Amino acid sequence: MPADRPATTVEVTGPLTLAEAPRWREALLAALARGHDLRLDLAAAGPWDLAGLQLVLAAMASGRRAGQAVRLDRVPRVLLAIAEQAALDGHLAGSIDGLAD
Amino acid sequence: MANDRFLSMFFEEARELLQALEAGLMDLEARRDDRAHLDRTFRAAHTLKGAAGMVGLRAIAGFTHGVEAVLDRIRSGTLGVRSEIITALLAAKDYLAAAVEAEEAGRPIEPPTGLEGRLEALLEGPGPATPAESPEPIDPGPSAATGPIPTRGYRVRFAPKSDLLRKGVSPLGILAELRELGDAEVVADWGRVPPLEDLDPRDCYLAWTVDLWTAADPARLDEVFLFLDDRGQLSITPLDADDTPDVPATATPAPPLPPATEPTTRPAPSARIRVEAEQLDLLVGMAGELAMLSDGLQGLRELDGIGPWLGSIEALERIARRLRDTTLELRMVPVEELFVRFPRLVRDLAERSGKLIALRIEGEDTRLDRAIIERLAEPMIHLIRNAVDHGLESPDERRAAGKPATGRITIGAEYAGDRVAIRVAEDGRGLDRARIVRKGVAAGLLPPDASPDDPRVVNVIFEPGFSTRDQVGELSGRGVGLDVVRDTIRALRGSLSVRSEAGQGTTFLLRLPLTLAMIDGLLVEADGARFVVPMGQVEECVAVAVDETMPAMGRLAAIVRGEYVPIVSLRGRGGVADGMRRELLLTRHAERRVAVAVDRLLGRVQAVIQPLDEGLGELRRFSGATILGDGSICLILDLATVVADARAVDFDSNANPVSC
Repeated sequence: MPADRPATTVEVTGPLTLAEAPRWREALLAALARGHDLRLDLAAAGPWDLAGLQLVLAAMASGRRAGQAVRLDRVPRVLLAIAEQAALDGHLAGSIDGLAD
Repeated sequence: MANDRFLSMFFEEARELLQALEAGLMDLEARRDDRAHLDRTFRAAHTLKGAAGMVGLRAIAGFTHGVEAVLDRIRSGTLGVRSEIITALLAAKDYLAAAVEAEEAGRPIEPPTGLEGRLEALLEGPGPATPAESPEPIDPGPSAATGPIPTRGYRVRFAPKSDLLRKGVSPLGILAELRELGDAEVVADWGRVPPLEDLDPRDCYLAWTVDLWTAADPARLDEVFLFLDDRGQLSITPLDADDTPDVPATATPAPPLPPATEPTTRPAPSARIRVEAEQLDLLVGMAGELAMLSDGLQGLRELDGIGPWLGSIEALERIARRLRDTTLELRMVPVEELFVRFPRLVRDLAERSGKLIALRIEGEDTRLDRAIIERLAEPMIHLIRNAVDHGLESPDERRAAGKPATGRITIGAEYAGDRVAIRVAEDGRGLDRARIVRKGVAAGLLPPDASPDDPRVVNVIFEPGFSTRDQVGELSGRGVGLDVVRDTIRALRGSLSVRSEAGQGTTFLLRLPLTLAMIDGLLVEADGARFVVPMGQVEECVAVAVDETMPAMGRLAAIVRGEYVPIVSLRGRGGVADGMRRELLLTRHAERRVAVAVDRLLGRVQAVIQPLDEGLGELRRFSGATILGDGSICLILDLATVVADARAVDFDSNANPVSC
């Protein structure tokens, strides 16, 4: 994410599973609607499931379509594990800025 | 944690999975060569783990992982199926069942001390592949085979239906299971994941292609997808042999699989939906009312000028009856749902008692009203405990009596006319009639001159507080007697009887109505009020001349075909309808005929039973209410209670008519 471009940071907290995905979809849509790049701080997000991971992929697709970068920061290891199981780790890797402690 | 709706779905699913896990574990020893059975058992644990993780119940998911891992060792052939392993896994299942209930109640619990250690020991221990006591080898599975393992290559293309995640199925579990089968190269297709604007976040847009090299046969591969109701787009095709890495030249050719253009399919299971039991009962009640109202309208057919509407009235009757019958059928479930818990119970009881027991279950497909099934569990468990504790002898005693050391318990169900007969039978020592008489006389339940040969003495075992045991046994004999069992069965409008032969065993026979929702009844009148009496409780209706009734031993009695039959009178005129005759309903109580006098018999009705409100439920002589064809409400009389109450006050029907 270029330093000279404005970015919106969304701190995702709590579960990102099938039940909560609709709520987070709305939040991410609202954040992208500002027209800035998007930084997702995922340190406090979890538990995760495939629906949560798919939501992140959709956010990345939205960013691509609108020309906005979507970056993932402080990514929890459980998300990486799910991505690996789903064979999506490679696709995700290019958007990760850092891992959670 | 997931919201309430998902949690509630999880709890329901978890109970079913745990039941499947227990059933699977119970049969594991007997079916040690049945790979499909082992896989099904494994899958129950596997699915439970995934479902628990999905709703955020990590403790349950984590613990289930231990169970799954032990089963996986058995699958891989590195752990043999032995009794103590099954015992440990059953204990783990018990904890999981308790943990699920505790989570639902909002009070999570910890595993019992040492249980996790037992599972870990099973995972870490050497564990022979075959049990020492069994000469039969188990299928070691591919990973335990020696020498080169022929592998085959398959390309699995899996594009699940969009609603897969909503159904609680995780593709991750499927991918993990495929990986467990061999070397897998998984490629995800994320190209269909739309931007957020077009995303339904609960739909699945992902698809996968898995190139798998495995020694497992194609059927095993297919099993990975067995538990999907709808597999979406799935194809499994052999890979070109040239692509095979490290495949020995001896590899057997793969059996033909459907071509890539023809996805693997299986017959779609019939669709099912879950409904709330209360809603179902409401529907049954309304369908019954509609049928009754329709019956009431049939009288219109006799009116002049009804011609144009005759077809509609007939159609209404036909459809209303079909609707009532169909909704009643919805309440019926196979008794298997009740019986499924008994193998485990008998296994535990056998372990604790040191007795050898073979359990045989018959007629599991017999269907009964769900409400009856739910209430039968406790009495059935009581009878089975009794069978083990009182009925079956120890192996030494059996050998000494010239019987096989292993006793047999048979639990069976079958249709018997419009009722279902359930029996709990054992081939043990039989009831000790002499002892029953001694105890019965001492307790004042039998006359001092009662004979052990009198067939009626065995009924004393159903009297409150009766026990032939001088000491409390571990399994039964704690004061909760067969009277409780009998009362429960009676409350279900059923009957309980016993047959016993010395040295040959004892059989308890439960006869139950198919449904609690509807009865064939007799409409009767007493003192101007109408009641419905279940036909099942009436052996015969007779009208006797007043001068054929007389006081006998302080009670009014009638002479019916030469037999003195005591009369219990409902309130009213003591069954004297026209000053000349008494209308009597003959029923049976404690193996004796008893007559219940009513004022008038009004005819037969088919009554849909509505439960009584809490206040009215206290009036225990009524088992419910129904709506008659004319729209009026009528109480349903329980003759067994009427007679039992009258007997309790040592009735004199003329002086103390039973008050309803």
